[in-house]
Amino acid sequence: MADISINFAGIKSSNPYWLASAPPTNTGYQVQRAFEAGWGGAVWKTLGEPILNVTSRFGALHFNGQRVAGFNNIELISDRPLEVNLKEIYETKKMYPKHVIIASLMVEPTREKWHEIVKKVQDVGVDGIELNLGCPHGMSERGMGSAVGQHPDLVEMTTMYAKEAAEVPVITKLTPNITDIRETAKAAVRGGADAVSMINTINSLIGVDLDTWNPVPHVNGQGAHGGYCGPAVKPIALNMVGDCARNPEINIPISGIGGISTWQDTVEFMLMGAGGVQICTAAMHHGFRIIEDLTEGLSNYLDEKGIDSLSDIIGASVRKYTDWSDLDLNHKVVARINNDICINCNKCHIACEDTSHQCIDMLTDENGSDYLKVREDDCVGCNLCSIVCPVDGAIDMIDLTPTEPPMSWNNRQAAIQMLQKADS
Amino acid sequence: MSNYEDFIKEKQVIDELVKQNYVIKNIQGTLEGDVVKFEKLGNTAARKSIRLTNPDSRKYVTTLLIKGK
Repeated sequence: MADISINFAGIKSSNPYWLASAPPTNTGYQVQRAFEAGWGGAVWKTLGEPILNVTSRFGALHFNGQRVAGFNNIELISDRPLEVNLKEIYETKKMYPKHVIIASLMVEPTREKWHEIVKKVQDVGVDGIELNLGCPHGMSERGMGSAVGQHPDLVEMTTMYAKEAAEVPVITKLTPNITDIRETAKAAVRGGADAVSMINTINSLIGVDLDTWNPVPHVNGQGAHGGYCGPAVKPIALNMVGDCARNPEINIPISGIGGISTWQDTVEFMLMGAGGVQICTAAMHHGFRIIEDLTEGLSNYLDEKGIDSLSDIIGASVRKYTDWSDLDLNHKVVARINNDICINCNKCHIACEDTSHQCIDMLTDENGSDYLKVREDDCVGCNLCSIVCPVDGAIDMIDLTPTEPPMSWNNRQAAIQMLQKADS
Repeated sequence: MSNYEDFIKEKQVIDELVKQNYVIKNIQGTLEGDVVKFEKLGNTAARKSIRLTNPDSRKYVTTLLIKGK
């Protein structure tokens, strides 16, 4: 059986699954339930000066029958006194010494404030500290959370403050509400972070009620932007993890967060460079027991692949993730319709005809039966037909045997520039 | 005309020039496509210019360039 334990920035965990800092990790009771269920670790709901919350707090995007495709919240950090949280962290760590507890922290960006809280949480035995520089709602209006995380200089400074007082690893949690997350990740590295985690939630408004015209969720008829998470944000998070993992200046571990709901999502994040993952929305949707499927599925996957240790897959796909300008312009993929599986719904034909490159013909065979056929010479390999096809296996995207050597945009431009130089 | 037929038409022009010992001397990207200037080997006065509008032709001509044609 494969070893699914991780060593993340020096923090050992029996599996890669940590609950993210959020409502599921609000109390010792909840974290203890999670550990009993099998979670490897928990990032405690963010500690700071206790806040006041509103009702209601959550909203969800249900899409075409899938509940909670996306999730939005306007809840703030812990509303409980620090002392109460510290007592419960201490008790939980005593009860579960082999489980990981990370304290998520958010205070004003001053050296004194960070030193004070770092020392306090450290004294109760946390395994690490996560700096919440990403929460996009409420706290950001007070100069904390993403208000700090959107400025590389403040990220660097805050990380440095925490590191000055920390004896345990410091993980800087980054906001996706920024043009280029690599800049703040690099700032965290400069500040001395032992790791970064990403992504925090994305600025969002889940919807507007068509009858009352109230924003969703609303508080007495008014709404404010919240933080978006859940399966819908996974591609955004995965890109940010991959972009940081392949950047040589960001040479510290990455904790992957953002829409991870299954063991398959976990594998994808780890292949793209995450050293472990954090989960919230899936646990809120289905409960802590999802950890059983997560660990079992991951373990079975590794066994089936003949991989002894989860650590062997970390970053294995990073070298395959590059800039568009380095992709091979001469690579050719075409669609092929398997007419024995195709149900002739014509969705591919309509999609191609209306919105792509008009290369799927509707034909009639000698028996008078309709069938669809791709004109491969005209097919640009966009994948749209296979994406809209409702039947698995009805359309394959085929890699054609290369007829020309690989040539990227960068190769092409370099060759043209050399030519122009010689011609001038 | 299909995109592929368009490509074949422009490719034939390129291949014919290469066959006649013309080599690529310059490629200039414009809003209307790539303007490709050819010069005959051993006869610098013999020049031809074509404009490639098809994306596959524009890939093809630079592939030839990289291959040293």
